[in-house]
Amino acid sequence: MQFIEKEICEFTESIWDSILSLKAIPDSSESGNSENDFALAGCVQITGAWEGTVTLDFPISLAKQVAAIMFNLDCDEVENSLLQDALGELTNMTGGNIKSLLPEPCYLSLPAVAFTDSNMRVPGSEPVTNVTFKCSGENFRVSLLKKLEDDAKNLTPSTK
Amino acid sequence: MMQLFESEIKEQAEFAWSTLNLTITPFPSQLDETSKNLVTAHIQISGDWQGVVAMVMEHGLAQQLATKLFSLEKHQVTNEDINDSVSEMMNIIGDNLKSLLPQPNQLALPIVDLKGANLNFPFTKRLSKVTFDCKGKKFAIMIHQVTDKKLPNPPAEATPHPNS
Repeated sequence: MQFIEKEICEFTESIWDSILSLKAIPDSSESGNSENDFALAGCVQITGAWEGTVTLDFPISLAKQVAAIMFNLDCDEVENSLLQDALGELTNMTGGNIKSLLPEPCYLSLPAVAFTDSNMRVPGSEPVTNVTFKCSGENFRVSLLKKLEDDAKNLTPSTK
Repeated sequence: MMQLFESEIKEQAEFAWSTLNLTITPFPSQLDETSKNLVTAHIQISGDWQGVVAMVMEHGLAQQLATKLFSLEKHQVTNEDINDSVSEMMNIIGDNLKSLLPQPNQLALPIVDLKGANLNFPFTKRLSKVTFDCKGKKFAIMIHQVTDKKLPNPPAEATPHPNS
């Protein structure tokens, strides 16, 4: 099992159930959305005794459903800014829960959200945990990246 | 009316890009942040001042940055090189601006997106956005500061989590 994978599953299921009354179920199969369907990304960084990044990747349709619930709207009333606010809030909550498991003291950054075709990248870090969840027939993903130690970073050009 | 930190952004950006022998000039029109041909980057500042410095640039300019930083020909530039070069420039500009803000504060890792659009920072307000031109290609630098913005209908209590 990946680093704190079990706890990420528990937190995510709990947040989605209590905040949104939605069931988010860990899904290790290949079914559901492809990589290209994760068009909305949120991330929050953790600094201090442990350093890294928590990212959430969503398809737009699922994000609209979440925002509609959070803001008490119909899906077609949800504007992009509300989509981003909703994902920012979810990212913040997920990151905050994960932070509580990490060595102290740690600090949580502000969330950042973007529409993206290629995923947010965090140069100087490596992925340690990736968990895909299924909700309402669609997949979303929670990832944890750890900052590389300084001597392991490589900023030299790629080999030609 | 000049925006908050506008002159500081101009000064730091011009200096950072000049180290790569690239001349930039402030551009009067805004860069369209909804375009999908943008490379976006941001770096968070926390401590006695909390906020984000962000940068968005046309993909061609990000490629050019990589050629300068790593002494490559254009055809040699990979996505990894673009990620690293934009990350490095974001780090430099973020670090320089951080030193002008209330201390003590800390800088996080830069985050880069090769095909990002509508980069947004919930719970912040934008203080400043400055658009630049570099040999006909555009980029912009923005500063956001944290606010106490809340969701209009706060959701029910969730699993409580500590948050610094």
